[in-house]
Amino acid sequence: MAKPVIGDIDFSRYNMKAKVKYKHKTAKGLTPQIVEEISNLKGEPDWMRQFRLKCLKIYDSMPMPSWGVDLSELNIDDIVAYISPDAKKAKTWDDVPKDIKETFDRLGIPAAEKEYLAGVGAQFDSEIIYHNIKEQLSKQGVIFEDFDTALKKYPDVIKEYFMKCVPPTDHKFAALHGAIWSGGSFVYVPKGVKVDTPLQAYFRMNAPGTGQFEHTLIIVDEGADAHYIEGCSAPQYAVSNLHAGCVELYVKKGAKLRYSTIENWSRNTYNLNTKRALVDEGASMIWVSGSFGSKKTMLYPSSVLRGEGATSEFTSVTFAGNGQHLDTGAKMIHLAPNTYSKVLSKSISKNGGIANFRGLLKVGPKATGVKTTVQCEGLMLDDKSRNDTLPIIEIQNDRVDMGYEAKVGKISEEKIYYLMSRGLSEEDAKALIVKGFVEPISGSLPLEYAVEMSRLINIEMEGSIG
Amino acid sequence: MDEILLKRLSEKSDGWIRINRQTGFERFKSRDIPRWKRLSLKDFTLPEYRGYGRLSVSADGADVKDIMDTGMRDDVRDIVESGLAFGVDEKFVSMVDSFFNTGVVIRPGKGSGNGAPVIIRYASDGDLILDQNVIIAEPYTTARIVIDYDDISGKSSFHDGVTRILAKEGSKVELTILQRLSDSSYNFNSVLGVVEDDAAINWSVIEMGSKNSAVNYMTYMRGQGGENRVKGAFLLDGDRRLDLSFKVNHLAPKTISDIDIRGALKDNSYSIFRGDLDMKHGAKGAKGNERESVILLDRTVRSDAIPALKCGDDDVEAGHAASCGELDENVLFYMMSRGLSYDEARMMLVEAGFNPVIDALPDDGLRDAMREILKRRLTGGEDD
Repeated sequence: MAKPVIGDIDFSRYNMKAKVKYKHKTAKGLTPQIVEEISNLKGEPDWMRQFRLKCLKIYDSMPMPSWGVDLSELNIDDIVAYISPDAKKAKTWDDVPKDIKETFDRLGIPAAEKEYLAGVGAQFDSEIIYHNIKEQLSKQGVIFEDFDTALKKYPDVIKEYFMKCVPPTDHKFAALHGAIWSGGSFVYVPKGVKVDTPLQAYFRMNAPGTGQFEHTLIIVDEGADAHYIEGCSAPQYAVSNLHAGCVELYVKKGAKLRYSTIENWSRNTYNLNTKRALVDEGASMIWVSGSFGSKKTMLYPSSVLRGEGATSEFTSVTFAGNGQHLDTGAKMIHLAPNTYSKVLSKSISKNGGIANFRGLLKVGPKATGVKTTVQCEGLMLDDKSRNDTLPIIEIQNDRVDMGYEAKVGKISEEKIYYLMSRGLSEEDAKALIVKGFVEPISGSLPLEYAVEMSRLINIEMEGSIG
Repeated sequence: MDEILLKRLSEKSDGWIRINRQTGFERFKSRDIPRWKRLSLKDFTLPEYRGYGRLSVSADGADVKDIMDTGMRDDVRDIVESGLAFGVDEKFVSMVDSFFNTGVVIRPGKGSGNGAPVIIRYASDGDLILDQNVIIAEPYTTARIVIDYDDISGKSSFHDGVTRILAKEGSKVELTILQRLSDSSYNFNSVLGVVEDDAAINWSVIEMGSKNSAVNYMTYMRGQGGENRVKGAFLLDGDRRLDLSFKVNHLAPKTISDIDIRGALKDNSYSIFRGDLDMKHGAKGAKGNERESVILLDRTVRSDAIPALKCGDDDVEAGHAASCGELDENVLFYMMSRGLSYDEARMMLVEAGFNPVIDALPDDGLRDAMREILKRRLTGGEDD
């Protein structure tokens, strides 16, 4: 068998099941008692407890989504909402329990932190076990805290912003998140501060049959600049795991935020995540997203361009393999004049996988002078798979320049033939073409993550012929 | 429209058509008026039943039968009872199936494609038109057909039509549907096309009239090498609204579809374009393409596009493109610098977009009439 183009890696590093002692574990299912139990364990203020209970009511009153992926096998009553490892939140990796540290070591997080990250947060099941930021940044006033700490230290800020961008009434899983959220990060970048190196959060689900519901809130103040990277993985289990995180981003006047995600949940995970950014005057929001894992995904990061001259770009690659149904996309909502957006989505489906692009492009009546383009490309690696592109475009004034393009096809035989005539095996040729296909995305990731993505593609491409 | 009326109508029809009216009525009864999100039918009520007597046919040798006179022969059962899903909504399709008050059955002959086109004209003087049309193209026949829904009095009309087309092996049907009913009319039209081996159904669609219009074209390409090409143009002004949808199902290998729609929006008008290309598993070597471009002429217009591209096989080529925007300022400036007025320049640019569709009309009179309507609507007519 031919060697993949970039060195082989051990897929088992994602599949490690650490034997960890757990401190608290709620019963399966979702009841007001469980919600109160989580709130009590965290010693939260009363408003948050009330908010959680209100969200639970909203959750109960809303129907399951009738579109997108099939959620009939997902039984919330079988999911453990909260499970915390027996570990205190550490400031140095030496204080992290050995088993947990080993997991993150193999995922390469501590090494990456040393080399090129400005700060790292690591979540293990329901709780953050490590959170640290470079001293120099905290001196500049940059706040990077786990969410529980942030709620204690900056209660007013959290109260002002928490679930205002994504209200719990948004959809059923936003309400679920509001009721049982745990962990996640809070980032504040003060006016004019430029954070050159990325901040990273890594989310690891370790226990079977559980859920992870981390909350990420980032406020980039006027004229500031930040890059946030999020990674996620979990070992493979026979039972379903659920991830319903929520990401709220506030990009203030003239600020810049880049949000990158490499998602590689195990193939038993339902990934029903909500991400949204409110982008003010002259600000810029850049999404880079790679979806490789999970059994079913519904994820549509959105940018609300509400300030004049705001811009947003969304670049994503989705790779759906055997047994996966990845329904991803982007929403661009133009509410202010002279706003600009660009969506580039690449999806690959193979081995019976289903990749969907579902997008919304909306230009409101007041958003004149808008320029926007949406480009979707699908690559089918065999005839068992599916690739659907389902955008909705709504334009409500005439001063708009909109272009949309989508195409789906397979790898052309000529290209494979050419590469093989130059000495590559068929497998190498295909892997090379797929990597070329996703180049616009890997090109916009930091080098280390681009390598990581390239590895994931190699894993996916192995044995894809036949 | 109720059971008593159905009985009265059924007495005039014989055999399976009576049964067909009956089963249509069962479907009609069990459905509510749809609640559409975009083209809202909030204050909509179903019209009172009336007969229709203004059908005119110019056939020139082709076999065209008035459905009310001669009914339908058994050979149309295949397509009428196909059970294939299509139409703007089941409520409106079943309304026609049970209560149709006019319609034609067309059986193109060999070679009739080269002569004058078959022109079916449904003129309306505030009429209720519930037309049931069937086109059966036997193997290796060709036909050019125009169905024209035309207003003659400016009164408010109600049109709900169903047209079913079966194109058998090697046949070719070129169908033009013109809709130019009065500005206060309702228009619903559901068109079904079934394309067998190496057959082709090509549609030219021009939507110029009605206050509220919902139109759906559905194609099943179930024979190898079938083709479905669509050229369409719409112009909306005032408060008019149009929901125009096309769905092409590629079920067989080497089938080809191509949809090309041009639109222009003025005043407070609102257009919704839906285009579905569904490349089913097994449609090896199929090609599907779809383009929509809309020119926006006023600040208060609204344009939605919902193109879907579904792909269940790898050996296909499918593409979509949509664009919308205002007329290019530089081009307008250039034309005005050459002595054209703003309105003339604008009109010329919009017309340029519509020309491929209008030029494809098979009749001189129709081409002129369409250019005339386009001009009247673009320059604002008596409204401004």
